[in-house]
Amino acid sequence: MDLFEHDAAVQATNDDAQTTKINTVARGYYEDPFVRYFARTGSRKSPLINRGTWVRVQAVYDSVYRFLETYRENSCRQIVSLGSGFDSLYFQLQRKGLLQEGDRFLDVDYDSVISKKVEIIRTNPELRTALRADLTQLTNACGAKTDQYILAGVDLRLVEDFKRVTEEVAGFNLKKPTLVICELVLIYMEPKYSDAVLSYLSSSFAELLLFNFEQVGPEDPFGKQMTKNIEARGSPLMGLVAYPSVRAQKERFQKFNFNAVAAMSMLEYYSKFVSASEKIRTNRLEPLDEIEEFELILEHYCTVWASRTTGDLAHIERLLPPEAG
Amino acid sequence: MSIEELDKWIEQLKRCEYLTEAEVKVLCNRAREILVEESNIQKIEAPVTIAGDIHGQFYDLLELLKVGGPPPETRYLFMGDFVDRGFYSVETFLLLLAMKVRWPDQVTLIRGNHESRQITQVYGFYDECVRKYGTVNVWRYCTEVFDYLSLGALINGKVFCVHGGLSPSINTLDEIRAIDRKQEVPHDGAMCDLMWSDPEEVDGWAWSPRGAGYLFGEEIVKRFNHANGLELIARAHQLVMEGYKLMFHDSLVTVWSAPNYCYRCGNVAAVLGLDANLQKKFTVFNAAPQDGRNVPSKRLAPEYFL
Repeated sequence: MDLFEHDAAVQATNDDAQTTKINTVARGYYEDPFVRYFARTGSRKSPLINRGTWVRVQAVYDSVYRFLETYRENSCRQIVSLGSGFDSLYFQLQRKGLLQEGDRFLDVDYDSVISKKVEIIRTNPELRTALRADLTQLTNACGAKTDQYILAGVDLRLVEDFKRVTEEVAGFNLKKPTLVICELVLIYMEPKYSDAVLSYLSSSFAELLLFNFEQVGPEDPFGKQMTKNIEARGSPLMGLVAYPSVRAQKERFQKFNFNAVAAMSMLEYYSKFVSASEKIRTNRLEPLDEIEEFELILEHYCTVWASRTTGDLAHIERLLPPEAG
Repeated sequence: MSIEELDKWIEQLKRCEYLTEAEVKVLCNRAREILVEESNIQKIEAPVTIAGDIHGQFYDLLELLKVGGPPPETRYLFMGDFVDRGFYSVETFLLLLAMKVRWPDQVTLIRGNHESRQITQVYGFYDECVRKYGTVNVWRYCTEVFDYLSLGALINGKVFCVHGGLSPSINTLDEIRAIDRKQEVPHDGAMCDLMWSDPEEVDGWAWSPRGAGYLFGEEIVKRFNHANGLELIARAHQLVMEGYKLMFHDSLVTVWSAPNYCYRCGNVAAVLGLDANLQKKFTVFNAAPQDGRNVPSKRLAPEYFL
């Protein structure tokens, strides 16, 4: 497969993720009035995928809320979503009134994904209203921006380009608290490229929280089949061999000088951080007759919170999930 | 429907070619006439080969019949969950049903929790019927058959076979025999529990995370087996990566017959053979080779979080 086909297959994972989120929202797992503008409704997904998607979204939102809360006194908080796809996180934060003047939110993805996303927002009155500002075309990159929200195209394998987009195009201040969301993005990159991204981030930003979510466990029968099946889609999990376990993921971020790192399987996250009442509520939404398989798949995804600060260390604990730090 | 016709259908189904809607109607009507005569707990004489969940994995069912030997030479008990999840629930269920009609005494089918109108609308069989036939009629004929399937089986009076497990409202086999089974699987109560419950390392009974049925511990099994003169409970319902799992000092066994479940889990499958003396022999098998089958379309690819 050539590079173009590979990139197209990785981009297609965005469509799958969005369709899945539509299903999950439609089922009542969580509220997101924007997700339907970003994807067509697709075929029905199994309850396992719906429930897992909801857990995944919870993990991201929890991290974002904790970050915003920890730095609520700061005049400028910065969030960047790597390989954001059509994710509606910025619109959700706006809707919930969680952003302040001076905050910045950056979506980065391939040029083709970003241009499509900009086009969707531009041509949708509800999304335009939700933005509360006009989108203007970027002049120095593919994409568009408001004072607060920047969508920029970049190939993350070119770390110099990523640096330029973050610091010049989006105007991120290296001294301000910054949250980086990596949701199933680093794993599609060869380790030398993802390492370069992490190295740049950790050596440049003074106050950094990074959330990473991706597959682990390639060695057992489920993991072998997962590796094979996802490879068959044309989007091999290139980082899986280098960082094959929860432990390896933890060491990965320690290697890049994050002061505090918490890593756990998605199953551990689900059992520890999803409340009993939420489990009961979602049990009522649809029957889940696939408990063993649900646990298997959740064991093969890893959540990592890594934080790095040159300032007050007390903040670190609050950034990580309780108990886990 | 003649035997020749039935044999022709079986051959056709073995090529993974489904029957016409009219043929399905005839087959289902005939199956119902046979099943209505069966007891809630169907009596079986060993030797017999016991299979667990199949879940529409048609080519793996052919693999199972290959390793177990073809009926009627091999007597079979299938412990439910024929449909849903896999790509070929229609062909799978119709083949099993045609074999049942062709050799009623050599093939026993009992009901699993997926043999239900509600569950098949969530897990794929309904959608598959509509996709393959354009109407809901085949799904309706099949779900009408589901209501007639036995709830369990008893081998040589010693081995009780059921899809899920035990129920706190059931102490004896006779209490199961007294259930009016010809209905949709209820949301609770004895009939529901038989199809939904799971054995677990718990004291007595516990709530099930599945939202239906219960978890039951070793003591419950010991008491039930003793009260009913049983040696073993054989059940399916739970994925086990090794294909089978003995529990509670060999008083209960789980048999799982869907290899690489959902084309995603990477597990092996098994059938349990009981000889005339009820000696156990497990045969483990792998998923059918990929190239021997019609490759399912991309939109049916196994799901992950991507």
